[in-house]
Amino acid sequence: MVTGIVLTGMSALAMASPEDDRIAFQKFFLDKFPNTTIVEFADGVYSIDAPSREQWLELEDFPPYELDVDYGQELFETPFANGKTYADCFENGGIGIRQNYPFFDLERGMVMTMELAINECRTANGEEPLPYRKGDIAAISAYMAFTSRGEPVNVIIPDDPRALAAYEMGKQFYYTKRGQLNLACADCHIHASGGRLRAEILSPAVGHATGFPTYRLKWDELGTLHRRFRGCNQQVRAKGFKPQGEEYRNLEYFLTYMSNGSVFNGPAVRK
Amino acid sequence: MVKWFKFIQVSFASLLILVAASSVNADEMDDFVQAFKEANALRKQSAELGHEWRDTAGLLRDARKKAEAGELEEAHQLVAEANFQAEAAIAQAKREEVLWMGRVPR
Repeated sequence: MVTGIVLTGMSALAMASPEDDRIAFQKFFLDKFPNTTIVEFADGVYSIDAPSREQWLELEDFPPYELDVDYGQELFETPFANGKTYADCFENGGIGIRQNYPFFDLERGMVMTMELAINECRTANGEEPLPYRKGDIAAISAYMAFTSRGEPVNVIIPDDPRALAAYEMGKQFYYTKRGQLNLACADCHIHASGGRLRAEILSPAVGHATGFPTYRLKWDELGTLHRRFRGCNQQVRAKGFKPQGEEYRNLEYFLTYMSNGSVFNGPAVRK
Repeated sequence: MVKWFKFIQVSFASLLILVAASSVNADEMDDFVQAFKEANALRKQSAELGHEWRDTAGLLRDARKKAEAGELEEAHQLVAEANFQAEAAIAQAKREEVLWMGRVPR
């Protein structure tokens, strides 16, 4: 009976509204890192560690993603075989719209992401879809993100049970321990954020989704958010999920919602 | 799923050839095949729960290779490790159905 009461209590806590979740989530980080604002958290680990920030600012003088943005623009503007371009698929010709993603598509009952929309644009115009983790799709997405730099994060959970279910699935994923190392995303990036993992400092979860696609020094190239999700899962020795599958799209929906009030600043450069 | 099914088909066919062509005892090979099937069924169950571990399928692939090479003792050890991982992944999935809620900041 006691167990039942505890579980019921936990369920009630876990089923708080998305907005209650976001407020508590951001308060956790504001309390833990009182010198950092929600907007500044968009700079990842560089928002909480001064020496790392100094090195990062040096890198930003001549950012390694710069050529990728140019290449992405070239791809974005190159017509498909049918003469149309990406601009024909998106509102405002695809410029300055990255902040509209992810969103819950009420007609299709699913979370839509920037990269999924890019590939759907391709297939609608008779082109093959691009692989989701890196390469051309990351470059196109980086260019589109670049045109939205500074736009506020404002993910909306519409009043629809399917949207709330997608959010809840993403939330459960984030807090669930996985893999042989028995670690949840939240273990490292909430509860141990600011701590050390060998020589690295664990970055705070708030602002995590704002800077993608990201040029990771470890990758020595640009990669998408779902590539990073999969890499994290594999690092805890769990089998990663398919990029742009339901699991990672819902995770992106939850995680980006948690950064509402911050700004999009992709493409970013990270360790 | 289809890939794994083909893998098992090819795997067991090659193991039968191996038994015919070598001194490996047919009963020992049957035991291995049975253990392999059981571990693989558990792995699939952990995957259905969204909790498959990264290395479990690789351990089974390595076990098959060892069996094909006639190294049944090592093959059994690898299958046992895969079996342990799959069982632990299933237990993790069941535990986490509730425990994740306790990690949400309030």
